[in-house]
Amino acid sequence: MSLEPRMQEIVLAQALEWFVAHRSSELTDARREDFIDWLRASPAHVREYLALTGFAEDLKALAGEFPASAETLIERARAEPESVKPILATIELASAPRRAALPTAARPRLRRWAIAAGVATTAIAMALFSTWPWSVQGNYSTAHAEQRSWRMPDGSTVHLNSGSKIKLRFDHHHREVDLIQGQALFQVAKDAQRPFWVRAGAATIKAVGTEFDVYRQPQRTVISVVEGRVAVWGPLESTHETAKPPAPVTQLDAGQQARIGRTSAEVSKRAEDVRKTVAWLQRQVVFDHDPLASAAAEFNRYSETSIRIDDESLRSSEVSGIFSAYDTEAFIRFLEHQPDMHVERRDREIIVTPNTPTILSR
Amino acid sequence: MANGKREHWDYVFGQHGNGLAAFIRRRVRRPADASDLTQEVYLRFLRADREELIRNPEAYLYTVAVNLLREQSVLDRRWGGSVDAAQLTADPALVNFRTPEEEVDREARMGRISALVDSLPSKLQAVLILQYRDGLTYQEIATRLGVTTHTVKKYVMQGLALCRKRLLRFEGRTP
Repeated sequence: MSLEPRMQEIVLAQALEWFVAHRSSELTDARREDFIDWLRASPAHVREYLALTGFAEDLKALAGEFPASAETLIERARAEPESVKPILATIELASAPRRAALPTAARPRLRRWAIAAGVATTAIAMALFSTWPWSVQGNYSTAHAEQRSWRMPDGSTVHLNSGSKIKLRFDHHHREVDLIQGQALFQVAKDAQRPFWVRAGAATIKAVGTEFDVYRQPQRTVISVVEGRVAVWGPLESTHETAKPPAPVTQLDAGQQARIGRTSAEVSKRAEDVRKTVAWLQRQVVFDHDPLASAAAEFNRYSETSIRIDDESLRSSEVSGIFSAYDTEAFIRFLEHQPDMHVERRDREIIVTPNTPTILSR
Repeated sequence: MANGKREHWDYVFGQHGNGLAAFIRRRVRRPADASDLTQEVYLRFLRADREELIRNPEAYLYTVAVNLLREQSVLDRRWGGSVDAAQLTADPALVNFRTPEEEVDREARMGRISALVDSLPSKLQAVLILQYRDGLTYQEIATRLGVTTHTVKKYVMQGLALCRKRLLRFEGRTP
């Protein structure tokens, strides 16, 4: 199951809201401001809005040939039972166009699990750390600014983001993958006899048939579930032996995300977080009130030119929008149009500083 | 306002003819330059002066898109030549100019859209046809269907969304 339609649906839903809003009443100044912000937030927004309008033009050009009279249409519409299903998963998106322009959306609470350190396990340690006679072993990796997908020996697919590396070991009873660095999205082929294990940093994940993303960052590992369900363990101590394997720190369902650090675990139930995390697959990066510093870091993953934010308050200022991961230029232009920022282009580096108003004397 | 809405449509279509549909057709036909075109519209929109933009951002966006398409048409025809800005706005034929190949595309596309509208649930079909063929406002449609204006808007959105999604699937741009 591909992710792109979901992203496209969000943009389509927002574009439709604005399109219909423009055609039902005069927009207030504030709403027009919001609309401008929405368009400016992403080329994808501009594309969908134009596409929608183009489609409406075609429809208008064609509607004259539609044979049924107005009376017939109304009669049929009234006779049809009220069963129109929501076509877009947009209920939460209904206010999205406006939200883009809101100063700060309150972050929902995150549930925290304290992880007991030093938990020992035989079963999991066996599965993960043993020197099993593996029938298939292999490494897959991507260079900086490269993304690739592979079909693995069991029929599962792995997509590797820029600068990532995995090592896999499969046999008749086990499927194990080590995410050595970077980010990987797994579409796991169902096989109840051979659970699919992924180890990344402090986290261990077990899946049967599902789709999930693992992003290994220096301080934590982020696990995002797109489909199905996975079990997640925090740091495991493999040197001790106990009778019982520890319970997983959490079970994640579709649309849920966990961040596993060396001493902490957080779980977010926001589907939005998952969407953002997996957007790289469509070569898109999504920011939703994210600090500018982390937005810049995301672009720096994909580009030869690096963006440096030279001011603490700017680093924490928030940005929202959808960008093509490979179009750093669009992002830089976007920054250049922020009134409070000054962008200096150097050879291989872009420096962003606060825009201090200068008084011009004549 | 009911009237405001109709004028808005007339304004949009009167100003741009079928320019945006042409813009989109080009995207479908030549996806490679199409994404460049959208990107360029985006960048021009970013560069626009906010004071000017705020008066009618939607119309501004359309104008940028259609002007860009005109420039491209001129460039395509006069290979490598420079563009005379005055000529761009003076010659509406540039936008409506279609190659035989585009004409075939158009036929096929129109056929698909017609089939799409036919396949819509009756309520969704009714609101789209009443709006686009008979020029009724959302308010007028609501009265005739015996529902609220809010519901009509919902139907319009659902109808357009269904068509767009099915078209995208057909054009193979949704995996």
